[in-house]
Amino acid sequence: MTEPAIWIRNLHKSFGANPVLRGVSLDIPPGQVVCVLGGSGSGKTTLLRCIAQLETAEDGLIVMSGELLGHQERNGRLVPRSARDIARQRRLAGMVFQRFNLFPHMTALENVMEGPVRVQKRPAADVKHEALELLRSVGLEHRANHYPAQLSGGQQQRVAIARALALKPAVMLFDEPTSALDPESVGDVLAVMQSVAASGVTMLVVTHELSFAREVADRILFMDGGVILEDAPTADFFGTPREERTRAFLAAVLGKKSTA
Amino acid sequence: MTRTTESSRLLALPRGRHIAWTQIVSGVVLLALCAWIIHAFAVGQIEWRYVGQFLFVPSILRGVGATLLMAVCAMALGMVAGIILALGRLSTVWLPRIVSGLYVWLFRGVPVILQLLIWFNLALIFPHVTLPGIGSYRTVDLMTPFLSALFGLGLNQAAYIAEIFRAGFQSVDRGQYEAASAIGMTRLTAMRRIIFPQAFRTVIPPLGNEFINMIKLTSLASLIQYPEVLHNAETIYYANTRVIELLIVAGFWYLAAVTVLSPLQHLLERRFSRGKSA
Repeated sequence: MTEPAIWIRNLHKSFGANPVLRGVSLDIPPGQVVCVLGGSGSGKTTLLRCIAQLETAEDGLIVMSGELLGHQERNGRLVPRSARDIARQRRLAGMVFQRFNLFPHMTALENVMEGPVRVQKRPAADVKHEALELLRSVGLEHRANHYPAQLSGGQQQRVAIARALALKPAVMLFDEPTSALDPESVGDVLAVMQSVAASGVTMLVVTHELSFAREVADRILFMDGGVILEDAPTADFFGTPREERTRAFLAAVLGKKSTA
Repeated sequence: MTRTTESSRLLALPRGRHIAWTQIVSGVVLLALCAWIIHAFAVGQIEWRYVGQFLFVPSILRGVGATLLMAVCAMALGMVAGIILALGRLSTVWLPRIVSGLYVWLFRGVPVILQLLIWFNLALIFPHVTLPGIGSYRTVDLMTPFLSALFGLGLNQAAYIAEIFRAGFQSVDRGQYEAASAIGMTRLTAMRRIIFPQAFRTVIPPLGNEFINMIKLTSLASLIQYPEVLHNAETIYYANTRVIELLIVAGFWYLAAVTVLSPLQHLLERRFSRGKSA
């Protein structure tokens, strides 16, 4: 039995009086590609942001690559980690945002190099070589010296994926990575994600792209009302969905697709 | 059919010019006004040769130097204190928020000239100042005109700069903090590498304004015996009674300083606008 890449038990999170996660538990083995589906407000993005430690859960535990996130055991109790330690832990996972969030005052290459050079303190010359290689792998080596404002949305998102990969994380988190893109760019980004998946990185992808999920994911989670309602291998999920709510969701999304 | 031929007739007409009568009239009035003012100054009781004579005397040039020195020092103090105050104002903890808010309220609410006088007369409140490990001093000796002006102008400026930087930091998208955190940056590194450079480009124009204001504001320090250019001009006209001539000399130097500064601001704006447009 190998150690899971991500291990989550009983995660709870609310914004004010509004509960968003109501007891999420999850094991993801290393190398698995998992897509998270669900309507808006189902808690899927919040789950991802808790794993990335951009949100702090009120209750529950997350262990990633053998490290308990946000807390540590001391004298038989769990105490919060220091801000510096949490910053270090955030590097365990690479995060790709819906709105790219590239640093606008840096070129594509500088965006990719920023983490390894400024955070990992690695020599810029080595990093530059790797960063150019990463940009090549996302098909953008000819855009290395362009600023984000000079790139299309799809190109920015591919740079953002390269930026996250530059820190060599074992886990990649994608938060609706194609939702802000024009339809033409979506394919390029999904192709890059597919090649990342093929490289053996553990992936957790919040998405509305059912065809991508069907093609690339090993496993689908369907969230509703802050819990994981259905958790099944991809073929079973699309072939024989168990829950009534899942069937309604699939019918609504697929129905909309076919009429469009 | 008649309609078409009627419209076609228009094709043959030559194009005339629109005459902007209002602009011509207001232009003439303005030129006349300028001519009248220039004439008034030319025939008025101004001995222009005194202006030329005193423009470059050592005491005036020393005054210009002192003015610029004070403007730079007070602005630097204002920037450092202002940035700290802005960070305090945006803190998630309530204590720095309250302290920064109170500071801005107090220093923005009291006239600068009053603040200068209070710093200059600090000895009336605290006759002695004890610096731990260094010794005890009489406040009168410590609060020189330079230090009083520096504290008075700089700490007042800090309140305004704090507000400018607060707006600058708030103009940076939240996603930038998150992206910086996600690649493992600590708050300090994210501030320095990601947030500050982006905030800075929005605050340069208002900061340039503040600096130009500061150059002129230093003239208030003449009141507490700081030997800047207006103070030295006054000292000369007390002796030779060439009041207007020396005021013109001082005015020339303020204008000159401000004129040199504007292209510098433009240069800075260019430097920090990297990646802003396609």
